[in-house]
Amino acid sequence: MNRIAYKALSIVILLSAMLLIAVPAFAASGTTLEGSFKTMPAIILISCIVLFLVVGFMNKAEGTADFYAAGRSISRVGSGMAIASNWMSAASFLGMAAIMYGSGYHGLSYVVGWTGGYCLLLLLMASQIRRFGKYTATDFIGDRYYSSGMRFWTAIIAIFISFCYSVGQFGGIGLMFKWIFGMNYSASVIVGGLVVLSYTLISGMLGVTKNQIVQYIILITAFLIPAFILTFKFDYFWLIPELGYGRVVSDIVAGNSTPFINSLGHAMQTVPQPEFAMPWDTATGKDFFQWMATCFALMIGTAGLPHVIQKFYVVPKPADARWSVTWGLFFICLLYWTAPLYSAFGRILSSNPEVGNLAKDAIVVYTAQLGTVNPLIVGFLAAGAVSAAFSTVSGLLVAGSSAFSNDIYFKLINPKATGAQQINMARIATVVMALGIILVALLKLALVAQLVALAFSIAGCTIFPLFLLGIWWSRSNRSGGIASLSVGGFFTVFSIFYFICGKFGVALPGSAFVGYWLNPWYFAWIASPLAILANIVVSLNTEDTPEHIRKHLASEVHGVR
Amino acid sequence: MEESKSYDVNFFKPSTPFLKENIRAIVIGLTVWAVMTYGFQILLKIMETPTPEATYVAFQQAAPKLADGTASAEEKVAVANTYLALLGKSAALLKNDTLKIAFTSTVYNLLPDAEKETLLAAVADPKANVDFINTALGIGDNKAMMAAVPYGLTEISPDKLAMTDPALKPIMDKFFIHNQSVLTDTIVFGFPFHYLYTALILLTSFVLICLVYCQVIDKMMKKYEMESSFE
Repeated sequence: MNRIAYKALSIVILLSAMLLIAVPAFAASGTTLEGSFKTMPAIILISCIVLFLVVGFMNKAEGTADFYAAGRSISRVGSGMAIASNWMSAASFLGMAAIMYGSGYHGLSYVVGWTGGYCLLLLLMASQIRRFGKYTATDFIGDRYYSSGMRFWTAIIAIFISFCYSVGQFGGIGLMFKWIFGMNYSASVIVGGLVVLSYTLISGMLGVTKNQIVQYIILITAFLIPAFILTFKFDYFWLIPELGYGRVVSDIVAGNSTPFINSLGHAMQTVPQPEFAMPWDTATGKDFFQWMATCFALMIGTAGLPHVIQKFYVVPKPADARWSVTWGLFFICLLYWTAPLYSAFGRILSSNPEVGNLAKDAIVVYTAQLGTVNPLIVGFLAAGAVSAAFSTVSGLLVAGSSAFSNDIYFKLINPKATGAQQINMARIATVVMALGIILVALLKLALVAQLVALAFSIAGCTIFPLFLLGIWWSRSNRSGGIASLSVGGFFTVFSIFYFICGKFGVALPGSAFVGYWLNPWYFAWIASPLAILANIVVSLNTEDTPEHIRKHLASEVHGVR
Repeated sequence: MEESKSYDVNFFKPSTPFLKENIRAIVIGLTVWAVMTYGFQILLKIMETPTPEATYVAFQQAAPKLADGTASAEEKVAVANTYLALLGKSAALLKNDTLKIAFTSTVYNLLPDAEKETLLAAVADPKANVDFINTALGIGDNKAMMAAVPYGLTEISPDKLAMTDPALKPIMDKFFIHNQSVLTDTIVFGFPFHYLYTALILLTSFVLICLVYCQVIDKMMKKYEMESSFE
């Protein structure tokens, strides 16, 4: 880990040095937020992608065993960084600030939901999952519920979750490509999507974990530097920007004037806007129930996401699984503590009506621009956003395509398939998925954070209940698992169906009711408890779990001797 | 443990001393987690009082007098400034014609006769100098309010001024009344306390819960000589 960290650090220093050298050339900062092709940001972005590929090649995995063992040469701090980088996507980097910019305190339910879920994961599952000793979430469910049908449907759900999660990411990548290369949104999504696809196909076999450490260092540096600059420049407490922006929030609430202007020459002041910080403000259109439901759904979703759970199978020991979660959460919090800062500065810097409506999902970058942060550092910030999306998307595409090639094609369709055939299947699945994602991303259905929240709700009401009861209640059996999955699946389909019909203007009976109580961003708040209930009721009324499974669970997972 | 029954695992009926201790640690951790996350939000909800902004209070006192023609010059200014503060809140409100008519009408009404014509001319010209309005409204040092003025101007007919409109009440209630309490009004490190708690303290406590739990479990594993056998 140390060598990798040094390498990454030296590369970051090199990049920063390059930026400084090139500063004079960019002294004339732009006065418009959008617009033309931006040379230096483009160079920074391309060098970041090349860097990931180079690090990947340097740590190339020789085979499956090596691939999994890669985790074993990495310290707990290192795998914590890998967890953080795997976790943090465009939704964390761009989406959270966007939703706080638009909906104020409601946005904090995303910040809290996406961190608090790790407590659930650690306390209830992390080391138990590691001790169960499988490689993927699908494997766990297939074995624990001794059913190839369950394996199939979990694989389908895992693919679907990866899909929804990625749609949000592609939206984020599209926005950043649009900003850097000055293309329109659709062209950006297509180009950005194809770049991620090629990157995933090339890097699919490379050293993923070590790459994620480098990606983490780049994205956290890119995110924190402008935070220091903004607080310093506008005379807030800059040594800890995460505390310093507090006065910005109070200034927005009270409408205080500041002596500063933004890059467009507008005063850095707003009319009093308590709706930015006051809880469940009517002006945001979000209420108390929605705050709680969103927060809860995101938390259980965190503990049910296949690509997150999978991380615990590749650490050497159960203790490492626990400590890497703790380190991972700390590294995640470094970004989450800072994200509201961007929404607050964004709000006060863009308050002048002349600024007009900004694309919320790009507010992090616009904020840095409005705060006259050096264009190169803004470019680095945009590149950080793309890196965040890249690391997550390539992980998701690999997870989705391997669920198809391994869990569906190899285990269920063609058990005689050779390794080469499986890899080909995985590649085809990756391409098909990526193209599908691009198509859906073009529709621009919702904000990045909301699209990602959908993936969490699905995971929270399908996979989370199966893991929770599968680990903690040996009586939970195949029939119970099927019942649980059916309930979760029903709510998923129901909520998405209503949402899509609503988007295309088809009025369904009770759509206001469904839109409020079973909204796609948080329907898991009720679907998950109902799935758990279905599992319990059906399990109690059917045959007991086979002894070999109870024995494995008791002795291997819970240490009963 | 020969009987198959001993292989039953149930979170609520731990069968071994290790499981008992482990589950106790989990329950304590989850309780702290749940109270800190949801307990605080529930407290926030229980303690809140819908509180109107100061400008809205002034508006509610002045508006009836405006309607029956008894409003003083200060009260007219208060009403106009409330409209302006509302306009400045969001881009969507800048497009609300009822609000713009109410604002322009009130400003027209309170201006001295000599400046009424200037206002009507300014309405037609987006680049017109509106300093006389800023002066009349006493907002010369408030750049955010001044920035909203040109956006609030719209065409009106001077003989039929609509200075108040019942349609504006729901909008004003929505944007001017906030859920406040001592938790939101106390300022700590510059933050409203509830914001500091949710955005920073809560996240930090998640990390601490994980840290403490890891240490407790590591000790427990040593005590029961558990994890060496899992490697």
